Amino acid sequence: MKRKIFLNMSYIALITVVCTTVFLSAVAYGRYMSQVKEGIQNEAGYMAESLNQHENQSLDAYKDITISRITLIASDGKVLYDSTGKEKSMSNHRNRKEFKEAVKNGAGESTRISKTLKKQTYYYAVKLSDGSVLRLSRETQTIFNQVEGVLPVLILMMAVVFVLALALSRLLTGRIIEPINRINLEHPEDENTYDELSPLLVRIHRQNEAIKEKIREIKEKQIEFTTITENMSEGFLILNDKSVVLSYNTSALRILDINEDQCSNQNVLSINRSHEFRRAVEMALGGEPSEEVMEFRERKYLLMANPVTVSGAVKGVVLMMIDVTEKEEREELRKEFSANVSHELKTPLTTISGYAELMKDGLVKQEDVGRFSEKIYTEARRLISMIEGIIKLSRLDENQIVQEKEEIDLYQMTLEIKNSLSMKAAEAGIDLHVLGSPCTVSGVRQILYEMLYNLIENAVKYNDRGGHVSVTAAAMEGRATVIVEDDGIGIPPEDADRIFERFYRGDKSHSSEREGTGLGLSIVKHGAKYHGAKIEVESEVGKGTKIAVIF
Amino acid sequence: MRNRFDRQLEQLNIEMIEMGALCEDMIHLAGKLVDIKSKEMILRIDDLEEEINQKERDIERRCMKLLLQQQPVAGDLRMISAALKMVSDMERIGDQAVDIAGIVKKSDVVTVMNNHTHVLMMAASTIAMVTKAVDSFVKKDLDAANEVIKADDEVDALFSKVKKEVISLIHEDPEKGEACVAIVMIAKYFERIGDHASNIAEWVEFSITGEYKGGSL
Repeated sequence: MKRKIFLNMSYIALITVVCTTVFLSAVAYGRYMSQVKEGIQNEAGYMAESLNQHENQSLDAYKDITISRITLIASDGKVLYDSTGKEKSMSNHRNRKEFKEAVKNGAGESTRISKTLKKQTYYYAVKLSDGSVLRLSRETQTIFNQVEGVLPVLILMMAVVFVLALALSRLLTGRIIEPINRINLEHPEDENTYDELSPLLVRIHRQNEAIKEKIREIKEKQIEFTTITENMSEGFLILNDKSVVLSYNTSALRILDINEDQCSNQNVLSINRSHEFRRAVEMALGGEPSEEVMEFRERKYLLMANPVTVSGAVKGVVLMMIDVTEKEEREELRKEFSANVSHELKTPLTTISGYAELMKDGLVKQEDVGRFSEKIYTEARRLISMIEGIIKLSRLDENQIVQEKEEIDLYQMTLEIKNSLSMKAAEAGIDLHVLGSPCTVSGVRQILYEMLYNLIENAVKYNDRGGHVSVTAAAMEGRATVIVEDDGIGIPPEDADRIFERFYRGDKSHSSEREGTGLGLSIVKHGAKYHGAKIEVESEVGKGTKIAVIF
Repeated sequence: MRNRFDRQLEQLNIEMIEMGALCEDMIHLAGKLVDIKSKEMILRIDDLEEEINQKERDIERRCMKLLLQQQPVAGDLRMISAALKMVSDMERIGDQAVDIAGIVKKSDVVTVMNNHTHVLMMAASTIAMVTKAVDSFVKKDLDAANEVIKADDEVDALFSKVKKEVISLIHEDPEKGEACVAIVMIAKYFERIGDHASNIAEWVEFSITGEYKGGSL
């Protein structure tokens, strides 16, 4: 800005100075020339007058009183006299312009510039009364000489002008710029400096508004995005094409067990370098979406890596990490469950079909038929009870029971169960007794009966000869509670979580040492759930089990 | 210029991590092989060996190029020279994993070994050492490096224990002599892997502090 103003000022000054000089010189030169010409003309007039009065004078007398060169030319053009004394060598002047004019009009003039341009001569000729022509001439300055003369002055002036322009432009720039600098770009419309600037300021103002709006929008989107990613339990990473982490969420940090410094702008390989992780990232960088299951810190994660492509080129990777530990475990359980079901259902059927085949083929002695039919019958009963159990469970699963709820005394019910189980207990040599006081709950009789029956039956079944089972039904802390306690074989801690699963049996070999379907506790669990009851299990291998159902 | 150099250093760092990861994969496989013999894993370990050898050559070439063309100083120079040393240790770990796989493939030692000796425990300790050594490099973690160096004594102690167990095993049942030799060799390989891991940790320490084995080089 300063430079530009300075240059412009300098140009203007230069043009002004040059023009002024040229015009002034031209005017001055014109006046100078007219004065010179007038002088010579007057001189010539006096001399001619003098020569006309007194003929045959020696012109040498005039030579010393004038600086002009005096030439006398005869009427035929021959030079008669010249004050330089070279009249003899001079050529005929017949064709000179001033001579011709003088002969014709009585006076004539001409200006001739010598070849070098350095000199200019003014000639003035007057016709004398005797017909000869008197010519006076004087060397004058040319216009170039004139300009040459003023050139140093001109240069000096220019220098002064430049210095002035420099100082002035500095001052001016400062003055012009200062209000502009004072403009607050946040609120440009507040400062009213130059009218010329107001369109610009208005535009800046509008753009400011637009930018603010855009920033607000972007911030909102950012917040939205962060809220979404922060609140998901899945780990989320965005990598660029050099696999450097650009963005992440807290879940990702938690899953990969790192802090923020170890994550942002770091190569993802320095975060996790397991085989599956690398393969997923590599595949995605190659443009292929991929899924891998990665094991990390005892948990399993499903990695889903998707390439981010911009016009065909992979520009980054979006990586999701989903904890599938439970899912995988459930998968495992389901597999075990179906294996158990088929095994449990198949065992009695195999027995039945085996015995039946033997009888069909007549390989059984008459006296054994009773024993064999007995076997077939018990196995078939077992199968039926198992299927009944499954049906009950599936009903409970679907909440299909629409039976009326009624007030039921749990103490009364346990006594009933004790009576029906007392035979079995006596056979197994187990002491079964019921303690407590009447306590009522509202529930479905059939389901409650099944629950308690299964619990107490289990306590009897999984006990050793001479063991004890004590059942307590009472209201404790305001809630109806049934506690079944035994001093039987107990439940190993690793099985404790799984005893309520269908067909799960502590004895993995499913040997029929202690018969059972593996459905009993499952029915208890579902029944409790149906009645909104809580089950607490305390158990120690070899010492016994205590199961409490709290309504 | 400096930018380009930084990029190359970063690339070197990544390749080192990749090689460390390969090395970990291999020793994990070797560790699993001494637990359960599996054809698939033996094949996989051979594939990985080729990969790790290729990686070693790549890293060496990159280091040489950096040393010659960029003439690094101070920390950068330490990092590059340490990398050069570390890759040979990593490559050796890979070789030893292959050797273990070879022994498991040829002889039937797995059951005898796991029933009577502590080789499985040795394997677990050395795997942990290698993982930690690579971790200490990735995170430039001096404490982790020191832990690895200390853990080497543990592995050495386990090795002498295994030796004693093998001796008593031969006394009990000279029939198992062949298996015993194989067990000693496997244990020795794990012990060597432990040494290499602690070497790596020492070089990590050098690249961070400029001190090698407690003194300046």
